[in-house]
Amino acid sequence: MSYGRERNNEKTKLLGISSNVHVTNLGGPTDSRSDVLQLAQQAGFEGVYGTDDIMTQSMGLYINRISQLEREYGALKEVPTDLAGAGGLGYAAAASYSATGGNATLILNRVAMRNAADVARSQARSAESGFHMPTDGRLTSNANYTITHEYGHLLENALYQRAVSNGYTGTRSQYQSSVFRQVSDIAVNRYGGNSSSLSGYGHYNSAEFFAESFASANSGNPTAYGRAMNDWLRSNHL
Amino acid sequence: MIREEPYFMQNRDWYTTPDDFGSDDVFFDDGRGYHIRDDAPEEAKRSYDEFYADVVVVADGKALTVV
Repeated sequence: MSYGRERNNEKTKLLGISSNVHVTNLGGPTDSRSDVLQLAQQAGFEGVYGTDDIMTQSMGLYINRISQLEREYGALKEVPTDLAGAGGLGYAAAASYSATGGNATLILNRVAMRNAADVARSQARSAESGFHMPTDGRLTSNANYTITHEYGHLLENALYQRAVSNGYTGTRSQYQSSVFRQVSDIAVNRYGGNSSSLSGYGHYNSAEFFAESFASANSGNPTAYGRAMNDWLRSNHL
Repeated sequence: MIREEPYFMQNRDWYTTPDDFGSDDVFFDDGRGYHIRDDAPEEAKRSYDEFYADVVVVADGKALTVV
């Protein structure tokens, strides 16, 4: 993907304007910090664009988390991925990919993700309300929850792309529904999971179900759905 | 995507889940886990519509699905 490379204010157009999520100014110039670039390259990112507004220590924390997850799951190795800052409202981070394949992007809201300590406090509140899955309560677990959730989206996309290249002919939506049923069966039948074992956001749709269950699996205090996701990933890996 | 908790979820009387109909499913047949009630306030209905609206960003002429 070439958006924003070495260019400021790459023009982006938002569709779906009835959403309360507004993603603007996606990407930008390459991150100016050599240590950030080096970390990101080691983690497996293709490039890092428009992220200078995010504090260096916070970027280091996020990228180190991705690096840990990547060693175990390999989503960035499977699908080349950029790390990009963006502006806008209504979201903290997102993952994007083309419907026709190609590079993926991990998007960080430059304001919401600027300081990992603020991210941790926000996650603690969301877990308390039940909108997000609980963690083990450690500061780093809460600070990394958002990144872990988004890596879950990248991993699911990579698994889908791999399935397609291996002959799977269903749609992405059909794939997500199938994964949901398998993980849910494990959660309910093996671990006694019920509706309260899944966050409010995990009930949104099967894509967020995957990301929330993945975040639970990797945040130190897995619910029945987090444990089920761990089991499922052991036999469905890249 | 990590996003803010939507307004319509602040009141359990404003939306339904498959649970409410005695179903063990997490999602309704349309793939959504929530349906807004007809008698919910207009602000809650608007919040619901915004929550489920697709977010697509176009960069370099390519439409990117955002999740």
